[in-house]
Amino acid sequence: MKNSFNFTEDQRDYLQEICNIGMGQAGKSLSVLFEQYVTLSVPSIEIFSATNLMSTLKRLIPAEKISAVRQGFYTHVVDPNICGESITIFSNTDVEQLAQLIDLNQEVTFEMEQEILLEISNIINGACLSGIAGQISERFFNTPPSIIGQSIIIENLLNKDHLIWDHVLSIKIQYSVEQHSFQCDLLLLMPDSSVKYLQDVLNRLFDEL
Amino acid sequence: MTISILICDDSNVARKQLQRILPEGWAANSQLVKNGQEALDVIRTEKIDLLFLDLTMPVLDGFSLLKIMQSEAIVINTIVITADIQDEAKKMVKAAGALDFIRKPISANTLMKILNRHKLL
Repeated sequence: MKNSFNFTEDQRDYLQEICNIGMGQAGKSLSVLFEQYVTLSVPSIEIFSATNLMSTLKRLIPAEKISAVRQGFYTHVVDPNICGESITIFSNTDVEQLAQLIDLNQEVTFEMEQEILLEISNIINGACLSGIAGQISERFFNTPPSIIGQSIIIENLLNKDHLIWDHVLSIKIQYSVEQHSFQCDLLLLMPDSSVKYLQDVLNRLFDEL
Repeated sequence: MTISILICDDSNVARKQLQRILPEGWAANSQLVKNGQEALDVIRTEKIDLLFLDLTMPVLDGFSLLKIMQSEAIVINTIVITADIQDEAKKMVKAAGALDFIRKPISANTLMKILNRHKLL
């Protein structure tokens, strides 16, 4: 992990392990969907300031066209300890591979692609957040997932609603199934207060080690 | 009798978590390594009684290490501790010679149960 924004090495190590566990849960859910064993890779995580969001995203995600799904998350409706917005970003070619893996023996229409994106992002997002929640003794609620765009250029990913956040935790996820491998990026955009809360929890957890 | 332990996990946090819940006295005899290759370097040269092994690691992963151990006839009691919670992963590591399989995050209770089950205490 590079460019960690205001996180100590101990906090980052702990967060990395928490994300590993979340990705393991996502892998299990995906293996049920694909009816095959899913090989996991070590997810690489970065934390950065949301003011650098676009330039950092361009570095993290070299694909020309992307598709993305957003979902809100929060621990409590009023004064949440942690809240934010998650964005799952897929590169174009991935979606066709995913359709093959789910064994759809038909042409992948725009609508079908949309369903696949929503399903996979919901699995990855849900497993990752529940993995994090389980270890920090919280529980996340989610707003329903919605498509930000399909086959868009990355410059069109964000709108002014995304500029309200202070920090971003990005998790690069790679799974392979047989000869196929797919990669996506999960971004968790959070306000300052949530990141401070998370850091406090991470400090406490690390001190207990 | 002291037993020599090798803990192989790329996560510093996971290594510490495990060390903290080992039975009394064991932590002092435990070595820590960050990937399968480092583990291999140790087990080829030293006598290790018990190996705690993660699966998903850079350089050389846990599955590959188990296969190399089989091919070199290196026999060590191995307990896999992993975030890969698929049933297939459990089957694969057992087929590759591991004694048992523990899902992360690991608790002291689970560890004791597994150690008892295999009469390692």
